[in-house]
Amino acid sequence: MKVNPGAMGRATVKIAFLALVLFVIFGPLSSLAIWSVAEKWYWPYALPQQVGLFYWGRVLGSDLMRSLQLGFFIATAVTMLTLLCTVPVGYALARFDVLFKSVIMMLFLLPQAFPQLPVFANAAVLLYKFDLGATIPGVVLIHMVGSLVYAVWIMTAVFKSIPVEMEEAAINLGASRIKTFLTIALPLAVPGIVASSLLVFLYSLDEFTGTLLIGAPFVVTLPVFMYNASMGYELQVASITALLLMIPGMVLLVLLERYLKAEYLSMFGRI
Amino acid sequence: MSEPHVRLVNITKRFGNTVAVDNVTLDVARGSFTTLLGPSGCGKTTTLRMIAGFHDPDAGDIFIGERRVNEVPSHRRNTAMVFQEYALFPHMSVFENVAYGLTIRGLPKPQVAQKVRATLKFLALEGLDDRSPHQLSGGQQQRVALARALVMEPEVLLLDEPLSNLDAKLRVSVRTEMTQIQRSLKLTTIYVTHDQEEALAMSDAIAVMHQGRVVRFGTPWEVYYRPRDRFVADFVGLVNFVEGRLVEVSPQVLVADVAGRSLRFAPEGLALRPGDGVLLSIRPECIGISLAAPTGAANVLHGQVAVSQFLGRLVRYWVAVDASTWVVDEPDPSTYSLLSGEVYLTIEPGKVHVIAAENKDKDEGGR
Ligand SMILES: Nc1ncnc2c1ncn2[C@@H]1O[C@H](COP(=O)(O)OP(=O)(O)OP(=O)(O)O)[C@@H](O)[C@H]1O
Ligand SMILES: [Mg+2]
Repeated sequence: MKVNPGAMGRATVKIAFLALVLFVIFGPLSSLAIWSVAEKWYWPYALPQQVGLFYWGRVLGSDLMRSLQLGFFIATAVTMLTLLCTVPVGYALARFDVLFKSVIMMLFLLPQAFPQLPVFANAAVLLYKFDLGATIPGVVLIHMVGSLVYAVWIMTAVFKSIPVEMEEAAINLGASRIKTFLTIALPLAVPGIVASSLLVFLYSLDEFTGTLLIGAPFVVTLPVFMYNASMGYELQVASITALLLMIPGMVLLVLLERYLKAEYLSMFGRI
Repeated sequence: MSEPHVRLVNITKRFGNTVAVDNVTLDVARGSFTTLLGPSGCGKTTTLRMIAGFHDPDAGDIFIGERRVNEVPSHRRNTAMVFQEYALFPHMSVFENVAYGLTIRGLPKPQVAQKVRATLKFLALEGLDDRSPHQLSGGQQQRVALARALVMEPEVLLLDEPLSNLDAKLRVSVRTEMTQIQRSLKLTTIYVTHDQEEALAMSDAIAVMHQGRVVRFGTPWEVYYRPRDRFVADFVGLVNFVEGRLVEVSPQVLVADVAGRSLRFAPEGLALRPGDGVLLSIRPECIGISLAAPTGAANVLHGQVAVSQFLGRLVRYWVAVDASTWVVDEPDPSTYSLLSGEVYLTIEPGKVHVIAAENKDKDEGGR
């Protein structure tokens, strides 16, 4: 059997690449996992001297659960409000010759065009003026600055991917515009709406900068909790929080993957 | 079948700078099968969509019956449309698709079910009620789309190239089926296609469209044998064009000089004078072809077979006569291997059609 040196070389490159990918993905994760069970770990040891679930017990018994609950509550509110705004707007942008269409799209995109920190800082000043600082509604609003952008773009793409003829057929059969929207466009958009809700939900759950600026010191979501914990040099608590924070993300992303059809993705950028 | 049911009066529709439909006037007879025929982009769909109410005309009036419908919103027009891609609702079953319009109308459930079942039965779709549209074949989807339109008992049925997604064989059988259905219901139908054979086979009347205008409106026979327009003659089937100059005019016969030969043909009631230039069209199947010189024929041409093609039900010859080439269809396929080399062509005077005449006194190029 002859060995093809070219193929050998390619295989080596492939294996090296795979190793690199695995390292990039699982390197930090394994460090998190190890830290979460490290009860004693001093330099220069490569692994903790003492391993145990002490910190897990402490975290699960602490305020963290409250932060988690709060985060879920805020994320749910953000998702609902965002959908309420973006489903009709997305539909209008996809179907009608809306006046100043590009201006509206720009308006939604604008906060993302600038560095996040000054945008949030300015928003914070504004929200404090309306007594919304350090309140849950304030945090919900600051999350929506970001979530509206994603959601409007996704919803517009989703509605654009539904053939117009489908709705015309309904109108032709006697359905009014509203009826057509409710019986044709909306049901057909459900996968897209689910996908967009999941993205928004995760975004809100993980949002840190705005939450810290607006919510502190009373509204402490999980990312802020983690930040506070690591500020106290309790790397164990921070690692556990980070791991916990990943769970809803992974679960929802699996769901998302099942719903997000490739055609929606291919619609992006055609708006 | 003379009373107009749908009337378009000087309809114009622009999209930006494109004039999609240009001053179209058309009377669609009640109960007739009327076809809009033309090449891609000539404005057929736009015309149909204006009748359905999906586009507002920029100028002109649309009447359905006595009623002017320009301002009537599309969901109140009672025109049922079948779309080219069918546009079946993918999240509903066949039954729900067909029931959709009746439910919207507020019909009681048992009545909806009864009508839907009757229509599904009529279109041989029984037993498919619970299927989802994507579980149907193309032909079945097409019939469901038709059922969804027919169940509404519409005043006017609008069909936009409903057969173009079917394979060639199915298309022929479905078109026969559709013609039968239309005849049995006597439903005023406006049909859009770019397929001339389909148009000829199915229609009571054909409106040939070109660049947004209706250039010829008539029965299939008239459109085919009396196109009156170079574009129409060329678009609807194969044709021989001949240019000549009239040398003799009488009530019974016209004689034109065509490249030094004289061609005799019927006057068709046209007011022509000697010296007028004429453009003539002759269909390939109207020309006889033989090896032996024919006797007693009004027009005989002598030429050379350049190419011949065996097309199954006929043989098509390209025959060089002087500098021009004539296309001739011989309906007897057994002549395929027999006819070659020197041949004689015969043309009956009644089968020559004057497309356009040009008066020699005027300088402007007439039609
Ligand atoms: N919504 C639209 N916006 C802009 N231009 C359009 C629109 N619809 C049609 N047109 C233009 O109007 C003209 C006529 O289009 P139409 O769809 O009526 O043609 P058609 O005869 O149905 O052609 P086809 O056989 O390809 O379907 C074309 O030049 C087309 O590009
Ligand atoms: Mg068309």
